[in-house]
Amino acid sequence: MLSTNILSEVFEYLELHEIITISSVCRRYKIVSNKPSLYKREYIRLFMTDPEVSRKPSSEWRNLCIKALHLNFYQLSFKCPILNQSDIKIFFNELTSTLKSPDLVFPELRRDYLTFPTLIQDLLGNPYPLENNQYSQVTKQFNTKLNQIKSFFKSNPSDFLKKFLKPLSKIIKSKIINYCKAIELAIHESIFPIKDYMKYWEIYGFSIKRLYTILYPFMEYFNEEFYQDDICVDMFEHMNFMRSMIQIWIENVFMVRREQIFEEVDKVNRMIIEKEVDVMSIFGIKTFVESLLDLSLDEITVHFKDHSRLQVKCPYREVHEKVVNFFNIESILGKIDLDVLDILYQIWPCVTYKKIVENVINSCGNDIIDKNNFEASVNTGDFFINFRAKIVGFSPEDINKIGRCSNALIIDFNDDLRSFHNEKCK
Amino acid sequence: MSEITLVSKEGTKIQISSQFSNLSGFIHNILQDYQQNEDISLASVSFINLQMILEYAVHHNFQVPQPPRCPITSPNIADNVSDPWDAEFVNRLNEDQIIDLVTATNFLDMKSLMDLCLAKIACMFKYKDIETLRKEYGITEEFTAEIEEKLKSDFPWAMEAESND
Repeated sequence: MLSTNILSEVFEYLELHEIITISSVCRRYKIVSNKPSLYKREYIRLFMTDPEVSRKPSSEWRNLCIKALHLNFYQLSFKCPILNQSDIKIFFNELTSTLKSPDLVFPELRRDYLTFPTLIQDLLGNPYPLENNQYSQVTKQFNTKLNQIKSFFKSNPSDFLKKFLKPLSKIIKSKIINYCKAIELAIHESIFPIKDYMKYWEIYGFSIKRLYTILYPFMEYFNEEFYQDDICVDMFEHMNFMRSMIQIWIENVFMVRREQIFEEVDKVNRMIIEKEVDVMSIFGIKTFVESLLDLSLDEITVHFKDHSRLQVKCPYREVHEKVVNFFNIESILGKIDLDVLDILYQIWPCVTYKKIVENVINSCGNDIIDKNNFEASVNTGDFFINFRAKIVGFSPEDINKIGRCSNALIIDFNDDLRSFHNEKCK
Repeated sequence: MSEITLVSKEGTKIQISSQFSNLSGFIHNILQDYQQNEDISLASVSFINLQMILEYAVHHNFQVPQPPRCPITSPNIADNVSDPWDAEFVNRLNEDQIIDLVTATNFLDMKSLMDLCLAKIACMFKYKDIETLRKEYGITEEFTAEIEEKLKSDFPWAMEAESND
Protein backbone atom coordinates (compact mmCIF):
# COMPACT_ATOMS: atom_id res chain seq x y z
CA MET A 1 0.00 0.00 0.00
CA LEU A 2 1.28 3.42 -0.92
CA SER A 3 2.07 5.62 2.05
CA THR A 4 0.32 8.97 2.29
CA ASN A 5 3.56 10.83 1.56
CA ILE A 6 4.37 8.81 -1.55
CA LEU A 7 0.79 9.08 -2.77
CA SER A 8 0.95 12.83 -2.37
CA GLU A 9 4.16 12.94 -4.44
CA VAL A 10 2.62 10.68 -7.08
CA PHE A 11 -0.35 13.03 -7.50
CA GLU A 12 2.11 15.73 -8.52
CA TYR A 13 2.52 13.80 -11.80
CA LEU A 14 -1.17 13.76 -12.64
CA GLU A 15 -3.26 16.27 -14.49
CA LEU A 16 -5.94 18.34 -12.88
CA HIS A 17 -8.96 16.29 -13.94
CA GLU A 18 -7.18 13.11 -12.84
CA ILE A 19 -6.40 14.56 -9.41
CA ILE A 20 -10.07 15.51 -9.04
CA THR A 21 -11.14 12.05 -10.20
CA ILE A 22 -8.79 10.35 -7.74
CA SER A 23 -10.01 12.56 -4.91
CA SER A 24 -13.40 10.88 -5.37
CA VAL A 25 -12.11 7.31 -5.02
CA CYS A 26 -12.00 7.24 -1.24
CA ARG A 27 -11.58 9.44 1.81
CA ARG A 28 -7.83 8.80 2.04
CA TYR A 29 -7.23 9.83 -1.56
CA LYS A 30 -9.44 12.86 -1.03
CA ILE A 31 -7.35 14.03 1.93
CA VAL A 32 -4.04 13.32 0.21
CA SER A 33 -5.06 15.07 -3.00
CA ASN A 34 -6.25 18.14 -1.15
CA LYS A 35 -2.98 20.00 -1.51
CA PRO A 36 -3.55 23.67 -2.44
CA SER A 37 -0.09 23.87 -4.03
CA LEU A 38 -1.08 21.07 -6.41
CA TYR A 39 -4.20 22.90 -7.54
CA LYS A 40 -2.46 26.23 -7.82
CA ARG A 41 0.28 24.68 -9.94
CA GLU A 42 -2.26 23.00 -12.20
CA TYR A 43 -4.45 26.09 -12.57
CA ILE A 44 -1.43 28.19 -13.49
CA ARG A 45 -0.10 25.54 -15.85
CA LEU A 46 -3.39 25.29 -17.67
CA PHE A 47 -4.78 28.80 -17.61
CA MET A 48 -2.33 31.45 -16.43
CA THR A 49 1.14 32.87 -16.75
CA ASP A 50 3.39 32.08 -13.79
CA PRO A 51 3.07 34.64 -11.03
CA GLU A 52 6.05 36.01 -9.13
CA VAL A 53 7.23 34.22 -6.03
CA SER A 54 4.22 33.70 -3.84
CA ARG A 55 3.21 32.83 -0.33
CA LYS A 56 1.44 29.69 0.82
CA PRO A 57 -1.39 28.94 -1.60
CA SER A 58 -5.00 29.11 -0.50
CA SER A 59 -7.40 26.18 -0.58
CA GLU A 60 -9.52 28.36 -2.89
CA TRP A 61 -7.38 27.13 -5.82
CA ARG A 62 -9.18 23.81 -5.66
CA ASN A 63 -12.55 25.50 -6.13
CA LEU A 64 -11.23 27.51 -9.04
CA CYS A 65 -9.86 24.34 -10.62
CA ILE A 66 -13.16 22.52 -10.18
CA LYS A 67 -15.07 25.44 -11.64
CA ALA A 68 -12.66 25.55 -14.59
CA LEU A 69 -13.12 21.84 -15.20
CA HIS A 70 -16.89 22.24 -15.01
CA LEU A 71 -16.74 24.98 -17.61
CA ASN A 72 -14.55 22.83 -19.85
CA PHE A 73 -17.03 20.01 -19.46
CA TYR A 74 -20.07 22.15 -20.20
CA GLN A 75 -18.48 23.94 -23.14
CA LEU A 76 -18.34 20.59 -24.87
CA SER A 77 -22.06 20.22 -24.38
CA PHE A 78 -22.63 23.55 -26.15
CA LYS A 79 -24.57 22.72 -29.29
CA CYS A 80 -24.95 24.72 -32.46
CA PRO A 81 -26.15 23.35 -35.80
CA ILE A 82 -23.23 24.77 -37.78
CA LEU A 83 -20.47 24.25 -35.26
CA ASN A 84 -19.28 20.73 -34.56
CA GLN A 85 -17.45 19.58 -31.42
CA SER A 86 -14.11 20.22 -33.02
CA ASP A 87 -15.01 23.84 -33.92
CA ILE A 88 -16.18 24.49 -30.39
CA LYS A 89 -13.05 22.95 -28.93
CA ILE A 90 -10.83 25.09 -31.19
CA PHE A 91 -12.75 28.22 -30.28
CA PHE A 92 -12.52 27.68 -26.52
CA ASN A 93 -8.88 26.60 -26.75
CA GLU A 94 -8.21 29.92 -28.43
CA LEU A 95 -10.01 31.72 -25.62
CA THR A 96 -8.00 29.86 -22.96
CA SER A 97 -4.65 30.25 -24.70
CA THR A 98 -5.28 33.96 -25.29
CA LEU A 99 -5.91 34.58 -21.60
CA LYS A 100 -2.91 32.45 -20.70
CA SER A 101 -0.50 34.10 -23.07
CA PRO A 102 -1.93 36.50 -25.63
CA ASP A 103 -0.06 37.48 -28.76
CA LEU A 104 1.22 40.94 -28.15
CA VAL A 105 -0.17 43.63 -30.38
CA PHE A 106 2.56 46.22 -29.90
CA PRO A 107 2.75 47.31 -33.55
CA GLU A 108 -0.85 48.39 -33.22
CA LEU A 109 -0.23 50.50 -30.17
CA ARG A 110 0.72 54.13 -30.13
CA ARG A 111 1.69 54.52 -26.52
CA ASP A 112 3.18 57.88 -25.80
CA TYR A 113 3.83 58.55 -22.16
CA LEU A 114 4.16 62.29 -22.58
CA THR A 115 0.53 62.71 -23.50
CA PHE A 116 -0.50 60.20 -20.86
CA PRO A 117 -2.37 57.64 -22.88
CA THR A 118 -3.26 54.26 -21.47
CA LEU A 119 -3.25 50.74 -22.78
CA ILE A 120 -6.99 50.67 -23.23
CA GLN A 121 -6.89 54.12 -24.73
CA ASP A 122 -4.53 52.78 -27.34
CA LEU A 123 -6.90 49.93 -27.99
CA LEU A 124 -9.76 52.39 -28.23
CA GLY A 125 -7.70 54.27 -30.75
CA ASN A 126 -7.85 51.10 -32.83
CA PRO A 127 -11.38 49.98 -32.10
CA TYR A 128 -11.57 47.74 -35.13
CA PRO A 129 -10.21 44.25 -35.29
CA LEU A 130 -6.61 43.58 -36.11
CA GLU A 131 -5.28 43.89 -39.64
CA ASN A 132 -6.00 40.95 -41.89
CA ASN A 133 -2.49 39.59 -41.64
CA GLN A 134 -2.79 39.56 -37.86
CA TYR A 135 -5.99 37.54 -37.82
CA SER A 136 -5.56 34.15 -36.34
CA GLN A 137 -6.75 31.17 -38.33
CA VAL A 138 -9.46 30.76 -35.71
CA THR A 139 -10.81 34.26 -36.30
CA LYS A 140 -10.92 33.75 -40.05
CA GLN A 141 -12.61 30.41 -39.55
CA PHE A 142 -15.19 31.92 -37.20
CA ASN A 143 -15.95 34.79 -39.54
CA THR A 144 -16.93 32.22 -42.15
CA LYS A 145 -18.85 30.12 -39.65
CA LEU A 146 -20.78 33.13 -38.40
CA ASN A 147 -22.11 33.80 -41.88
CA GLN A 148 -23.33 30.22 -42.03
CA ILE A 149 -24.88 30.50 -38.56
CA LYS A 150 -26.63 33.75 -39.52
CA SER A 151 -28.09 32.11 -42.61
CA PHE A 152 -29.23 29.15 -40.56
CA PHE A 153 -31.14 31.35 -38.11
CA LYS A 154 -32.30 33.81 -40.74
CA SER A 155 -35.95 32.80 -40.50
CA ASN A 156 -35.96 32.93 -36.70
CA PRO A 157 -33.48 35.50 -35.36
CA SER A 158 -34.63 35.14 -31.77
CA ASP A 159 -33.31 31.59 -31.84
CA PHE A 160 -29.93 32.99 -32.80
CA LEU A 161 -29.96 34.86 -29.53
CA LYS A 162 -31.53 32.25 -27.31
CA LYS A 163 -29.90 29.14 -28.67
CA PHE A 164 -26.56 30.45 -29.79
CA LEU A 165 -25.37 33.83 -28.58
CA LYS A 166 -26.71 33.75 -25.04
CA PRO A 167 -25.28 30.34 -24.05
CA LEU A 168 -22.02 31.12 -25.83
CA SER A 169 -21.71 34.47 -24.01
CA LYS A 170 -22.49 32.79 -20.72
CA ILE A 171 -19.68 30.26 -21.05
CA ILE A 172 -17.20 32.88 -22.25
CA LYS A 173 -18.11 35.22 -19.39
CA SER A 174 -17.89 32.45 -16.80
CA LYS A 175 -14.47 31.45 -18.06
CA ILE A 176 -13.17 35.02 -17.89
CA ILE A 177 -14.64 35.52 -14.40
CA ASN A 178 -12.96 32.32 -13.20
CA TYR A 179 -9.69 33.51 -14.70
CA CYS A 180 -9.99 36.93 -13.02
CA LYS A 181 -10.71 35.29 -9.66
CA ALA A 182 -7.53 33.26 -10.07
CA ILE A 183 -5.60 36.44 -10.84
CA GLU A 184 -7.03 38.06 -7.73
CA LEU A 185 -5.89 35.07 -5.68
CA ALA A 186 -2.42 35.08 -7.26
CA ILE A 187 -2.08 38.79 -6.44
CA HIS A 188 -3.31 38.20 -2.90
CA GLU A 189 -0.65 35.51 -2.37
CA SER A 190 2.12 37.36 -4.13
CA ILE A 191 5.10 38.82 -2.34
CA PHE A 192 5.09 41.58 -4.97
CA PRO A 193 1.34 42.15 -5.36
CA ILE A 194 1.45 45.34 -7.40
CA LYS A 195 4.09 43.95 -9.73
CA ASP A 196 1.87 40.94 -10.34
CA TYR A 197 -1.21 43.14 -10.66
CA MET A 198 0.56 45.10 -13.39
CA LYS A 199 1.80 41.99 -15.14
CA TYR A 200 -1.62 40.43 -15.25
CA TRP A 201 -3.28 43.67 -16.29
CA GLU A 202 -0.92 43.94 -19.26
CA ILE A 203 -1.72 40.36 -20.26
CA TYR A 204 -5.41 41.00 -19.77
CA GLY A 205 -5.23 44.20 -21.81
CA PHE A 206 -3.75 42.37 -24.76
CA SER A 207 -6.25 39.55 -24.31
CA ILE A 208 -9.04 42.11 -24.55
CA LYS A 209 -7.80 43.19 -27.94
CA ARG A 210 -7.32 39.63 -29.13
CA LEU A 211 -10.67 38.37 -27.91
CA TYR A 212 -12.35 41.51 -29.14
CA THR A 213 -11.05 40.59 -32.59
CA ILE A 214 -12.25 37.03 -32.38
CA LEU A 215 -15.69 38.03 -31.11
CA TYR A 216 -16.05 41.14 -33.22
CA PRO A 217 -18.27 39.47 -35.84
CA PHE A 218 -20.74 38.42 -33.14
CA MET A 219 -20.80 41.85 -31.52
CA GLU A 220 -21.15 43.61 -34.84
CA TYR A 221 -23.98 41.37 -35.94
CA PHE A 222 -25.77 41.65 -32.61
CA ASN A 223 -25.48 45.43 -32.38
CA GLU A 224 -26.50 46.07 -35.96
CA GLU A 225 -29.32 43.59 -36.28
CA PHE A 226 -30.73 42.96 -32.87
CA TYR A 227 -30.07 45.72 -30.43
CA GLN A 228 -32.97 47.89 -31.52
CA ASP A 229 -35.19 44.90 -31.67
CA ASP A 230 -37.67 44.42 -28.82
CA ILE A 231 -36.88 40.76 -28.47
CA CYS A 232 -33.45 41.34 -27.06
CA VAL A 233 -33.87 44.41 -24.91
CA ASP A 234 -34.56 42.30 -21.85
CA MET A 235 -31.82 39.86 -22.61
CA PHE A 236 -28.75 41.90 -23.40
CA GLU A 237 -27.29 45.29 -23.05
CA HIS A 238 -25.62 46.83 -26.05
CA MET A 239 -22.80 44.40 -26.63
CA ASN A 240 -19.29 45.69 -26.17
CA PHE A 241 -16.89 42.94 -25.35
CA MET A 242 -14.08 45.33 -24.36
CA ARG A 243 -16.31 47.04 -21.82
CA SER A 244 -17.58 43.70 -20.48
CA MET A 245 -14.06 42.39 -19.95
CA ILE A 246 -13.02 45.55 -18.13
CA GLN A 247 -16.12 45.34 -15.96
CA ILE A 248 -15.28 41.74 -15.07
CA TRP A 249 -11.77 42.85 -14.07
CA ILE A 250 -13.14 45.69 -11.95
CA GLU A 251 -15.57 43.43 -10.10
CA ASN A 252 -13.29 40.44 -9.61
CA VAL A 253 -9.82 41.91 -9.31
CA PHE A 254 -9.81 45.65 -8.68
CA MET A 255 -12.69 45.82 -6.18
CA VAL A 256 -11.44 42.83 -4.22
CA ARG A 257 -7.86 44.13 -4.12
CA ARG A 258 -8.74 47.81 -3.83
CA GLU A 259 -7.49 48.27 -0.26
CA GLN A 260 -4.14 46.83 -1.30
CA ILE A 261 -4.11 49.10 -4.34
CA PHE A 262 -4.95 52.15 -2.23
CA GLU A 263 -2.16 51.25 0.17
CA GLU A 264 0.19 51.16 -2.78
CA VAL A 265 -1.10 54.54 -3.93
CA ASP A 266 -0.39 55.97 -0.45
CA LYS A 267 3.06 54.44 -0.56
CA VAL A 268 3.71 56.08 -3.92
CA ASN A 269 2.59 59.46 -2.58
CA ARG A 270 4.81 59.14 0.46
CA MET A 271 7.74 58.40 -1.86
CA ILE A 272 6.90 61.52 -3.86
CA ILE A 273 6.79 63.69 -0.77
CA GLU A 274 10.13 62.30 0.37
CA LYS A 275 11.46 62.71 -3.19
CA GLU A 276 12.49 59.07 -3.26
CA VAL A 277 11.49 58.50 -6.86
CA ASP A 278 13.88 58.35 -9.78
CA VAL A 279 13.13 58.32 -13.49
CA MET A 280 12.66 54.54 -13.62
CA SER A 281 10.35 54.43 -10.66
CA ILE A 282 8.33 57.32 -12.10
CA PHE A 283 7.93 55.27 -15.26
CA GLY A 284 6.78 52.24 -13.25
CA ILE A 285 4.38 54.24 -11.08
CA LYS A 286 2.97 55.98 -14.12
CA THR A 287 2.24 52.64 -15.73
CA PHE A 288 0.48 51.60 -12.55
CA VAL A 289 -1.57 54.81 -12.57
CA GLU A 290 -2.40 54.19 -16.21
CA SER A 291 -3.70 50.76 -15.38
CA LEU A 292 -6.09 52.39 -12.90
CA LEU A 293 -7.19 54.89 -15.54
CA ASP A 294 -7.70 52.03 -17.97
CA LEU A 295 -10.48 50.76 -15.78
CA SER A 296 -12.52 53.95 -16.16
CA LEU A 297 -13.54 53.48 -19.73
CA ASP A 298 -15.90 56.45 -20.05
CA GLU A 299 -13.39 58.72 -18.48
CA ILE A 300 -10.74 57.54 -20.89
CA THR A 301 -12.89 58.40 -23.85
CA VAL A 302 -12.94 61.97 -22.65
CA HIS A 303 -9.35 61.72 -21.59
CA PHE A 304 -8.44 60.71 -25.13
CA LYS A 305 -9.85 63.90 -26.59
CA ASP A 306 -8.51 66.34 -24.06
CA HIS A 307 -6.91 64.96 -20.99
CA SER A 308 -6.73 68.27 -19.16
CA ARG A 309 -10.51 68.43 -18.96
CA LEU A 310 -11.30 64.85 -18.29
CA GLN A 311 -14.12 63.91 -16.01
CA VAL A 312 -13.08 61.38 -13.46
CA LYS A 313 -15.34 58.40 -13.08
CA CYS A 314 -15.19 55.22 -11.08
CA PRO A 315 -13.11 53.36 -10.29
CA TYR A 316 -10.43 55.98 -10.94
CA ARG A 317 -12.52 58.54 -9.07
CA GLU A 318 -11.89 56.67 -5.81
CA VAL A 319 -8.17 56.67 -6.46
CA HIS A 320 -8.34 60.37 -7.36
CA GLU A 321 -10.07 61.20 -4.08
CA LYS A 322 -7.56 59.21 -2.07
CA VAL A 323 -4.67 61.02 -3.70
CA VAL A 324 -6.25 64.46 -3.32
CA ASN A 325 -6.99 63.76 0.35
CA PHE A 326 -3.48 62.57 0.93
CA PHE A 327 -2.01 65.84 -0.29
CA ASN A 328 -4.58 67.84 1.62
CA ILE A 329 -3.26 66.93 5.04
CA GLU A 330 -1.73 69.80 6.99
CA SER A 331 1.55 67.98 7.66
CA ILE A 332 2.04 67.27 3.97
CA LEU A 333 1.30 70.79 2.74
CA GLY A 334 4.57 72.27 3.90
CA LYS A 335 6.54 69.63 2.02
CA ILE A 336 5.06 70.43 -1.38
CA ASP A 337 7.60 72.40 -3.35
CA LEU A 338 8.39 72.72 -7.04
CA ASP A 339 10.23 69.39 -7.18
CA VAL A 340 7.31 67.58 -5.59
CA LEU A 341 4.95 69.29 -8.03
CA ASP A 342 7.16 68.17 -10.91
CA ILE A 343 6.92 64.56 -9.81
CA LEU A 344 3.19 64.84 -9.17
CA TYR A 345 2.70 66.28 -12.62
CA GLN A 346 4.62 63.43 -14.21
CA ILE A 347 2.76 60.73 -12.37
CA TRP A 348 -0.82 61.79 -11.86
CA PRO A 349 -3.20 62.84 -14.61
CA CYS A 350 -3.97 66.54 -14.90
CA VAL A 351 -7.36 66.27 -13.26
CA THR A 352 -5.82 64.91 -10.07
CA TYR A 353 -2.81 67.19 -10.25
CA LYS A 354 -5.00 70.27 -10.63
CA LYS A 355 -7.13 69.34 -7.67
CA ILE A 356 -4.09 68.82 -5.45
CA VAL A 357 -2.71 72.22 -6.43
CA GLU A 358 -6.06 73.88 -5.94
CA ASN A 359 -6.36 72.43 -2.43
CA VAL A 360 -2.84 73.44 -1.55
CA ILE A 361 -3.60 76.99 -2.58
CA ASN A 362 -6.87 77.07 -0.67
CA SER A 363 -5.40 75.53 2.46
CA CYS A 364 -2.50 77.97 2.48
CA GLY A 365 -4.88 80.89 2.18
CA ASN A 366 -2.82 81.85 -0.79
CA ASP A 367 -3.80 85.09 -2.40
CA ILE A 368 -1.99 84.77 -5.67
CA ILE A 369 -5.04 83.42 -7.40
CA ASP A 370 -8.01 85.61 -7.90
CA LYS A 371 -10.86 83.31 -6.94
CA ASN A 372 -13.24 84.95 -9.41
CA ASN A 373 -10.96 84.14 -12.27
CA PHE A 374 -9.99 80.77 -10.98
CA GLU A 375 -12.20 78.70 -13.28
CA ALA A 376 -10.93 80.49 -16.33
CA SER A 377 -7.33 80.30 -15.32
CA VAL A 378 -7.54 76.59 -14.59
CA ASN A 379 -8.47 75.97 -18.16
CA THR A 380 -5.83 78.19 -19.68
CA GLY A 381 -2.97 77.00 -17.56
CA ASP A 382 -2.18 80.45 -16.04
CA PHE A 383 -3.06 79.04 -12.72
CA PHE A 384 -0.11 76.68 -12.77
CA ILE A 385 2.25 79.36 -13.92
CA ASN A 386 1.31 81.70 -11.09
CA PHE A 387 1.30 79.02 -8.50
CA ARG A 388 4.62 77.55 -9.48
CA ALA A 389 6.19 80.97 -9.65
CA LYS A 390 4.98 81.80 -6.17
CA ILE A 391 6.34 78.57 -4.74
CA VAL A 392 9.73 79.15 -6.26
CA GLY A 393 9.72 82.73 -5.01
CA PHE A 394 9.21 84.63 -8.26
CA SER A 395 7.22 87.79 -8.59
CA PRO A 396 4.64 88.27 -11.36
CA GLU A 397 7.19 90.59 -13.00
CA ASP A 398 9.69 87.75 -13.11
CA ILE A 399 7.10 85.60 -14.74
CA ASN A 400 6.52 88.09 -17.47
CA LYS A 401 10.18 87.83 -18.34
CA ILE A 402 9.60 84.31 -19.51
CA GLY A 403 8.76 84.87 -23.12
CA ARG A 404 6.43 81.96 -23.78
CA CYS A 405 4.62 81.66 -20.49
CA SER A 406 1.23 82.71 -21.68
CA ASN A 407 -0.67 79.93 -23.42
CA ALA A 408 2.34 77.67 -23.06
CA LEU A 409 1.75 74.03 -22.32
CA ILE A 410 2.50 73.23 -18.74
CA ILE A 411 5.29 70.91 -19.68
CA ASP A 412 6.96 73.64 -21.77
CA PHE A 413 6.41 76.18 -19.05
CA ASN A 414 8.03 73.89 -16.56
CA ASP A 415 11.19 73.74 -18.66
CA ASP A 416 11.18 77.49 -19.14
CA LEU A 417 10.69 78.17 -15.48
CA ARG A 418 13.58 75.90 -14.59
CA SER A 419 15.91 77.54 -17.12
CA PHE A 420 14.85 80.95 -15.84
CA HIS A 421 15.48 79.86 -12.28
CA ASN A 422 18.93 78.56 -13.17
CA GLU A 423 19.77 81.80 -14.97
CA LYS A 424 18.63 83.82 -11.98
CA CYS A 425 20.72 81.77 -9.57
CA LYS A 426 23.94 82.22 -11.50
CA MET B 1 38.99 10.37 -3.57
CA SER B 2 37.78 8.02 -6.29
CA GLU B 3 35.77 5.33 -4.56
CA ILE B 4 33.56 5.11 -1.53
CA THR B 5 32.15 2.09 0.30
CA LEU B 6 28.43 1.83 0.88
CA VAL B 7 26.99 -0.70 3.32
CA SER B 8 23.45 -1.98 2.84
CA LYS B 9 21.13 -2.68 5.76
CA GLU B 10 22.07 -6.38 5.51
CA GLY B 11 25.72 -5.41 5.98
CA THR B 12 26.81 -6.06 2.40
CA LYS B 13 29.50 -3.68 1.17
CA ILE B 14 29.58 -2.17 -2.29
CA GLN B 15 32.28 0.07 -3.70
CA ILE B 16 31.28 2.89 -6.02
CA SER B 17 32.66 6.06 -7.52
CA SER B 18 32.41 9.08 -5.26
CA GLN B 19 30.71 10.78 -8.20
CA PHE B 20 27.60 9.08 -6.86
CA SER B 21 27.33 12.19 -4.70
CA ASN B 22 26.14 14.02 -7.85
CA LEU B 23 22.95 11.99 -7.65
CA SER B 24 22.49 11.61 -3.90
CA GLY B 25 22.13 14.55 -1.53
CA PHE B 26 22.70 12.18 1.41
CA ILE B 27 26.07 10.96 0.08
CA HIS B 28 27.02 14.49 -0.93
CA ASN B 29 26.57 15.66 2.66
CA ILE B 30 28.40 12.66 4.10
CA LEU B 31 31.40 13.33 1.85
CA GLN B 32 31.86 16.77 3.34
CA ASP B 33 33.44 15.14 6.44
CA TYR B 34 34.46 11.81 4.95
CA GLN B 35 37.57 10.00 6.11
CA GLN B 36 39.16 7.76 3.47
CA ASN B 37 38.32 4.05 3.74
CA GLU B 38 35.40 4.85 6.02
CA ASP B 39 32.25 2.79 5.39
CA ILE B 40 29.02 4.64 4.73
CA SER B 41 26.18 2.79 6.38
CA LEU B 42 22.78 2.91 4.64
CA ALA B 43 20.53 1.47 7.32
CA SER B 44 17.33 1.92 5.32
CA VAL B 45 18.53 0.59 1.97
CA SER B 46 18.43 -3.11 1.17
CA PHE B 47 21.16 -4.76 -0.88
CA ILE B 48 18.74 -5.39 -3.77
CA ASN B 49 17.68 -1.75 -3.86
CA LEU B 50 21.27 -0.59 -3.56
CA GLN B 51 22.21 -2.71 -6.56
CA MET B 52 19.38 -1.21 -8.57
CA ILE B 53 20.30 2.30 -7.51
CA LEU B 54 23.91 1.77 -8.54
CA GLU B 55 22.84 0.27 -11.86
CA TYR B 56 20.82 3.43 -12.50
CA ALA B 57 23.71 5.66 -11.42
CA VAL B 58 26.26 3.88 -13.60
CA HIS B 59 23.94 3.99 -16.62
CA HIS B 60 23.61 7.73 -16.26
CA ASN B 61 27.35 8.10 -15.72
CA PHE B 62 26.66 9.64 -12.31
CA GLN B 63 25.06 12.66 -13.94
CA VAL B 64 21.52 13.86 -13.20
CA PRO B 65 19.35 12.84 -16.18
CA GLN B 66 16.39 14.78 -17.57
CA PRO B 67 13.41 14.45 -15.24
CA PRO B 68 10.21 12.71 -16.42
CA ARG B 69 7.39 14.84 -17.77
CA CYS B 70 5.32 16.47 -15.08
CA PRO B 71 2.42 16.02 -15.36
CA ILE B 72 2.74 12.81 -17.32
CA THR B 73 0.95 12.75 -20.65
CA SER B 74 0.49 9.03 -21.19
CA PRO B 75 0.00 5.88 -19.09
CA ASN B 76 3.09 4.47 -20.76
CA ILE B 77 6.19 5.54 -18.85
CA ALA B 78 8.27 5.33 -22.04
CA ASP B 79 6.33 8.30 -23.41
CA ASN B 80 7.21 10.38 -20.38
CA VAL B 81 10.97 9.92 -20.16
CA SER B 82 13.71 10.99 -22.55
CA ASP B 83 15.89 7.90 -22.09
CA PRO B 84 14.17 4.61 -23.09
CA TRP B 85 16.51 2.78 -20.69
CA ASP B 86 14.76 4.53 -17.77
CA ALA B 87 11.41 3.15 -18.91
CA GLU B 88 12.80 -0.38 -19.26
CA PHE B 89 14.42 -0.04 -15.84
CA VAL B 90 11.21 0.77 -13.95
CA ASN B 91 9.04 -1.52 -16.08
CA ARG B 92 11.06 -4.46 -14.74
CA LEU B 93 9.80 -3.75 -11.25
CA ASN B 94 6.49 -4.66 -9.70
CA GLU B 95 4.51 -2.20 -7.59
CA ASP B 96 5.98 -3.36 -4.25
CA GLN B 97 9.52 -3.12 -5.59
CA ILE B 98 8.88 0.39 -6.87
CA ILE B 99 7.52 1.47 -3.49
CA ASP B 100 10.61 -0.02 -1.79
CA LEU B 101 12.83 1.80 -4.24
CA VAL B 102 11.01 5.09 -3.58
CA THR B 103 11.67 4.65 0.14
CA ALA B 104 15.34 3.93 -0.53
CA THR B 105 15.77 6.89 -2.87
CA ASN B 106 13.99 9.08 -0.35
CA PHE B 107 16.54 8.03 2.29
CA LEU B 108 19.41 8.74 -0.11
CA ASP B 109 17.85 12.06 -1.19
CA MET B 110 18.14 10.83 -4.77
CA LYS B 111 15.58 12.98 -6.52
CA SER B 112 16.12 11.84 -10.10
CA LEU B 113 15.43 8.16 -9.47
CA MET B 114 12.65 8.94 -7.01
CA ASP B 115 10.93 11.10 -9.66
CA LEU B 116 11.21 8.27 -12.17
CA CYS B 117 9.54 5.85 -9.73
CA LEU B 118 6.79 8.35 -8.81
CA ALA B 119 6.09 8.98 -12.48
CA LYS B 120 5.85 5.22 -13.04
CA ILE B 121 3.30 4.91 -10.20
CA ALA B 122 1.40 7.91 -11.57
CA CYS B 123 1.17 6.04 -14.91
CA MET B 124 -0.80 3.34 -13.08
CA PHE B 125 -3.44 5.98 -12.19
CA LYS B 126 -3.57 7.63 -15.59
CA TYR B 127 -6.82 7.45 -17.59
CA LYS B 128 -8.61 5.35 -15.00
CA ASP B 129 -12.09 6.01 -13.68
CA ILE B 130 -13.14 5.83 -10.06
CA GLU B 131 -14.49 2.28 -10.19
CA THR B 132 -11.40 0.90 -11.91
CA LEU B 133 -9.15 2.50 -9.35
CA ARG B 134 -11.24 1.17 -6.46
CA LYS B 135 -11.12 -2.31 -7.97
CA GLU B 136 -7.37 -2.29 -8.68
CA TYR B 137 -6.42 -0.99 -5.26
CA GLY B 138 -8.98 -3.07 -3.35
CA ILE B 139 -10.74 -0.01 -2.00
CA THR B 140 -14.13 -0.89 -0.59
CA GLU B 141 -16.98 1.55 -0.84
CA GLU B 142 -16.55 4.28 1.72
CA PHE B 143 -18.99 6.90 0.56
CA THR B 144 -22.70 6.77 1.18
CA ALA B 145 -25.04 6.57 -1.79
CA GLU B 146 -25.90 10.20 -1.21
CA ILE B 147 -22.26 11.31 -1.34
CA GLU B 148 -21.72 9.09 -4.35
CA GLU B 149 -24.57 10.82 -6.17
CA LYS B 150 -23.17 14.19 -5.25
CA LEU B 151 -19.77 13.19 -6.59
CA LYS B 152 -21.39 12.18 -9.82
CA SER B 153 -23.06 15.52 -10.24
CA ASP B 154 -20.06 17.53 -8.98
CA PHE B 155 -17.45 15.75 -11.04
CA PRO B 156 -19.29 14.26 -14.03
CA TRP B 157 -16.06 13.68 -15.93
CA ALA B 158 -14.68 11.53 -13.10
CA MET B 159 -17.27 8.80 -13.51
CA GLU B 160 -16.12 7.72 -16.93
CA ALA B 161 -12.67 6.66 -18.10
CA GLU B 162 -10.77 9.29 -19.98
CA SER B 163 -10.47 8.75 -23.69
CA ASN B 164 -6.97 8.90 -25.04
CA ASP B 165 -7.53 11.70 -27.53
